[in-house]
Amino acid sequence: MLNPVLRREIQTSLRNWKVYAAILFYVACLVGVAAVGFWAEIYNSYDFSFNPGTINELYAVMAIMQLLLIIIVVPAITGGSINGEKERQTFDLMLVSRMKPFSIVAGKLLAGIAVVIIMIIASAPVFALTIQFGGASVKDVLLLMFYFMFSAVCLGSVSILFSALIKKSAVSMVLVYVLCGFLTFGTLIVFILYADYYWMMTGGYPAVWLYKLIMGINPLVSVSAVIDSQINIGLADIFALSYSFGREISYSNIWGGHIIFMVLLSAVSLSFAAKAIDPVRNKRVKKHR
Amino acid sequence: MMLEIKGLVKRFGSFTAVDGLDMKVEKGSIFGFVGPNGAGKTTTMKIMCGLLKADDGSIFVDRSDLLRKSSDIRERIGYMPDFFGVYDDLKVKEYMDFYEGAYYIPYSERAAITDKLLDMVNLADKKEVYVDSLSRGMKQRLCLARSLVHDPDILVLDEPASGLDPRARMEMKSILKRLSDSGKTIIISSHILPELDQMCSHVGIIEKGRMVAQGTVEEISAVVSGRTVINIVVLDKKDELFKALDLDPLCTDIKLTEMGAEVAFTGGEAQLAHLLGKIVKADIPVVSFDKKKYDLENVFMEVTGGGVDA
Repeated sequence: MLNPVLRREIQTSLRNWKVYAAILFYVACLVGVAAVGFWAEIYNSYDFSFNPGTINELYAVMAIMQLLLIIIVVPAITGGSINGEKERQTFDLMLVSRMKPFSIVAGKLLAGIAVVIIMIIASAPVFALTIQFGGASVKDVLLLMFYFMFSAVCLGSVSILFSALIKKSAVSMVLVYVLCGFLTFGTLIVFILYADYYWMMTGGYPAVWLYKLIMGINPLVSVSAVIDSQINIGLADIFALSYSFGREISYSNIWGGHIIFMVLLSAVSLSFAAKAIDPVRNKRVKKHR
Repeated sequence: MMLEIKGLVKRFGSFTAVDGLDMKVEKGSIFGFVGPNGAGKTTTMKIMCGLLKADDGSIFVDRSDLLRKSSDIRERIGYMPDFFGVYDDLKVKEYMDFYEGAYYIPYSERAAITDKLLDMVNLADKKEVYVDSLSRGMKQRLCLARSLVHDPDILVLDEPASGLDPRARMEMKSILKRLSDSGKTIIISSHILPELDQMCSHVGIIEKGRMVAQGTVEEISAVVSGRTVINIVVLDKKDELFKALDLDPLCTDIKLTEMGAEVAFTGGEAQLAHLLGKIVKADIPVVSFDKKKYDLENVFMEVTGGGVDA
C-alpha cells in the first residue's frame, strides 16, 4: 500500500499549476545556462564554430548549478513539512492514526523530494546535449542524476529533522539554509583557517586524511569530484583550494565517502525526526496500584 | 465497564494538569466531561488518544492498559480535537480516503466506508466538493466521520459543537445520539452544559485535574446535596399530604406547590418506595411521584463552587 502521506501530497501536487511552473522554471534555468554557454562559445570563435572540449566545462557548470538549485529547492519544499502540519492543526489527526512516526516522516520525505526528482529527471535531456558534443557518456549522466537524487534525499532528511524539532516552519527553513551554507562554503573557510593556523603553529600542513574528511562533507567539492571522475578537469581540486597550500592533494576520489556521509546523515536525521514526533516516546509510565 | 482511568497524572514542569484522575465510563454511554477552563479535560483526552504521555496512572479499555499498549489506542479510540485543520486542497472523498489510508484500510473497502460515513453525517452530497468550501458545521461533521473510519469502540470528542450555530449543533447532537444507539461509547467535552444535559447518560466533573463527581446528573446532585428532591402531584388532600410528609423523618424542606408538594428526601430507594406506600395508604390520590430532574448547569456550579464557566 502506497504511503498515505505520499499519496495525498502527490494527489494535491499534480493539480497544482505552481508545481509545473517550478519544474518549467528549473529546466529553463538549466537550458538558459546551456544556451548561453553554446552561444558564447560560438560567438567568441573566429568562424562561428565551437571547440567540443569546452562542452566539458559547460557540463561541469550545469552540474554545479543543478546542485545549487537542489540546495535551494529541497529545504523550501521539505523544511516546513512537519511543523507546517502542526501550524495547520492537521498533525494530531495524523498521529492518532495507525501510521507509525517513521512512516509519517518517510512519507513526508518522499512527497517532498518527489517533485525534486521529477526536476532532476526533467533536466536529464539538457545534460544529454553535452553527450553529443562532449566527453561525458550516458553512464556518466545517469551517475550524476543518481548522485543528485542522493543529495536531495539527504538534504530532505535533514530538512525534515529540523522541521520536526523546530516549532515554526520559517525558522526551520532558515536554519536548513544556514546549515547548507556552512556545508557548502563554511567547510571551505574552516579548511583554510585550520590549515593556516596549523602552518603558523607547526610550519607544516595537517594530515591529508583530515583535509579529505573536511572536504568530504562539502557537497560542492563532492559533486566536483564526481565530475572529475567522469571528465577529469580538476574541478574538485580547484574548489578544495589544495594548490594554495603548496601541496597537491587530489580530491577526485572523495565522492564515494561523501555518499557514505549522506547515507549516514539521512538515516540519523530520519530516525531522530521519527523520535521527535512520537508523542509517547521513551514511555515509562509507572504502574498504578 | 468500557473504559476505566486510574490515578492518571500529567505534569508540565511544576504545573500538574491532571492530578490522580479516576474515571469510569460504561459501555454504550455518552459521557459528558465537564470542568472549568484549565481543569485538565483536553489533557486527559489527549492522553486517552495517545497524543500525550502520562506521568503516572493507567487507562484500561476492557482490561487492556492503553498506556502500555499504545497500538490499542489507535485501534479502539476515535478522536476529534477541539481545534483542527483540514486539507483545503482535497475533495471530501479524498480527505476520507487519506485517513482511511492512514488507518491502513484496504483500497477495496474505502469507497463503501466513505459512502456510509458521509451518509451518516449528512454529507453524502458533498463528496465531490473541496473541503475548503464546506461550512464550519460541515467540517465538524466531516471530522467526526474521519474519526470513525476505523470503526472504533470509543469516540473521544473535545468540544465537538464549539463555534456551531444552533442548527448545526442540533445536527451534531442527533448524529451522536445515533452513534450511541449503535453501541459506540462516547466521551464528550463541551462548554454548552444544557446540551450535554440532554444528550449525556453520565457526566464527570473535573476540577484542578481531579474528578470531583461522576455519575448521572441526579446521582451527582444527590451526592453533592445529600438529598433527592421529589415532586408529588395529587388530585386533592394537599394538607393530608403535607402531614404525611412532615411525619417522615427523612423528609426535609417540604414545599407545597399548586398541584401537590416538593420535598427534599434524604433516604435511599427503599425508603422512597416506603414513603410512596404510606401516602397511598393514607388515601391521598397521587397522580405522579417522581424525582425532580436536575439541571447540569446547577449541579456543575454547585460542585465547582460556582462563578466559573464550564
